[in-house]
Amino acid sequence: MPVDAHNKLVMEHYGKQFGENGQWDTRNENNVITQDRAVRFVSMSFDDVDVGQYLIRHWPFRTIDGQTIATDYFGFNGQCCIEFGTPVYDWIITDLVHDPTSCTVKAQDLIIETSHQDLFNYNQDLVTLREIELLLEQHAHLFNKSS
Amino acid sequence: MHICLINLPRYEIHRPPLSLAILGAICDEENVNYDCVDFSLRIWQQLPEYFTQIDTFSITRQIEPECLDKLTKLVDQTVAQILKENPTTVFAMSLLSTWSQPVCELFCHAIKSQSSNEILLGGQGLADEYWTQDLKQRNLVDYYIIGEGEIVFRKFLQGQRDMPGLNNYNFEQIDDLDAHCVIPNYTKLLEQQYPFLNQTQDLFITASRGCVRSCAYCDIGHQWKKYRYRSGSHVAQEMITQFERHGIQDFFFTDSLINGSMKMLDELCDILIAYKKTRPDAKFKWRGQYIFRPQELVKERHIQKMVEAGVVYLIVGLETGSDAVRYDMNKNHTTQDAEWFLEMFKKHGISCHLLMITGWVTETLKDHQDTLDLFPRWQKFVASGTITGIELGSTLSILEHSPIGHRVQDLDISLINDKPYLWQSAKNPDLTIAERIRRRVETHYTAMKYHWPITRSLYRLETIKQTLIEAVDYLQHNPVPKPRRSFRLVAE
Repeated sequence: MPVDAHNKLVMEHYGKQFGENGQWDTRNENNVITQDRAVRFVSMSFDDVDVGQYLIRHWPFRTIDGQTIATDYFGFNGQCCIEFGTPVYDWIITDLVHDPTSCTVKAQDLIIETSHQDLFNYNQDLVTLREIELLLEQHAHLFNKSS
Repeated sequence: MHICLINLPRYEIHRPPLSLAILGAICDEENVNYDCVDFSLRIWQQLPEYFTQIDTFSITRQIEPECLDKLTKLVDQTVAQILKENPTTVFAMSLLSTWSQPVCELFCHAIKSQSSNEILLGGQGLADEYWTQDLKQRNLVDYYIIGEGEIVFRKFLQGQRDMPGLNNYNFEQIDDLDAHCVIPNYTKLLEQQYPFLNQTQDLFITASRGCVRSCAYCDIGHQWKKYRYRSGSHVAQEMITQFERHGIQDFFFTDSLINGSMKMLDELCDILIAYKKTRPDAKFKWRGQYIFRPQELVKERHIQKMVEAGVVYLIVGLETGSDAVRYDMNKNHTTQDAEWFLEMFKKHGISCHLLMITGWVTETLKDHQDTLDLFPRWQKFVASGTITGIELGSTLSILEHSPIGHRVQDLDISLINDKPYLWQSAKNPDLTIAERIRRRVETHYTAMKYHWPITRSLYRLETIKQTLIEAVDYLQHNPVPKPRRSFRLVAE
């Protein structure tokens, strides 16, 4: 599917009847829904990467009367909207895997820098990389094929 | 007899030390009273602002006077406290590696200045025979155990003082690990406040010693001549015991690889899966190092079974994107094999961490490009959460006792200032020290471009910068060194 840098994928549940013209698409007995019409979000993949686990946190369902529900069960009329960028893996990593509020990936098993929890933050890396590059430029003459 | 077991830095402080738990269990079996002091943890707790400096001191022996003063005082206080509680205790110190030596020396001086109590050392930190003999000759230590401690430490507690492995390097490896390995006792250690990762208690565990591979850059074959492993049932028994004793379900295998013996791993998985059926509250999670093998030798069912048994995270030495370089390293798998494993890990929900080496001795620009090509090609495994980290390393060091260390003459390798990380091979003249570092920098930029999570990045980059400064400093004042015939000839 051709995509742009910024894209919007909308899943809409519409046409469910809640008593309009006497028609009900849901049945309630003693406050328990016994029959219903709904869409259940099971999974979704972008280029072979399943993003279903991010639904609840990132893409709430908005009903037509303005409620916002974090759910995988679209029981009301409304929309679930996924805005995504490309390249799609960049978007998944930076927006979903690297969730700045939860910082899901940590140096959990190879701890040396116990303070360096955010493995996707390269700010200090860039500083040191530049220092190394400057050293290489300044002293290039010292390094030839025999040193 | 009373023994005070002391764990020395440099040691990760997020899990209690396995060595002390093993020695403690042997003390239990021999009815010897003991206490445990994890001095790494004590530094973390009492000198947090100096923790990094002391960590560096362990490696370089360089330390600011103020920090040394604080450290020395903490050592003195610790020794005084131990002596106050048990005036006749034997001090038994565990040295994980030679990086434990600087703090060990401080302890020896403190103990001998405050008492005439005996000191016993053990662990891989005694690999340097000259250092150990020197301490012994200066009467700073009374005993040292070389090799595996399960037999010698037990006999020491029984009163024996004349045997192979005690105060000599004539140690024998244990062939039957099941017969000698004990279930570690963590009771005393878990009383201390460890900063466990992810708020769950987890423990180290060791199922094997040595390695089935002989990767050209690695010297483990020198330390452990033969690969030996405990049976799957023996290892499972340890995990189940720790679960039933302490409720601990998370384990980190310290082995060079957990799949050295597929038979053992299979048996371990079978037992844990069966146990989980009888105890639904047992939700084992385990992590460890793993090797990729040729794809045709491994079935998907093996991966599936590991997951059912609790494997969640594996650390794998991929090293390079070049099959030619990997072949030269004796790694015995291809990029295609690795990709199959990553697909399996993705499918079954195992996360993994890749270890890399930039600038292998024979690496060409084409090989380097093969490595760079992995980053976009495997970006989907980062997006899927399969690859949760990559360790880019600080370029290759040529270890004296590694297979490549034995080939320095064949490869016309010269070292600057005798430093194993400042090498150049006349057989690959394009790969100068500067070019090696340039490739490492380029690899780092490429990893960042594709948003890979880089572990220990700042630590590694700082090491590389210092390496470069050291090389520049040398080359500005000295002629280019000549190729050497071998490490041993130079040492002689």
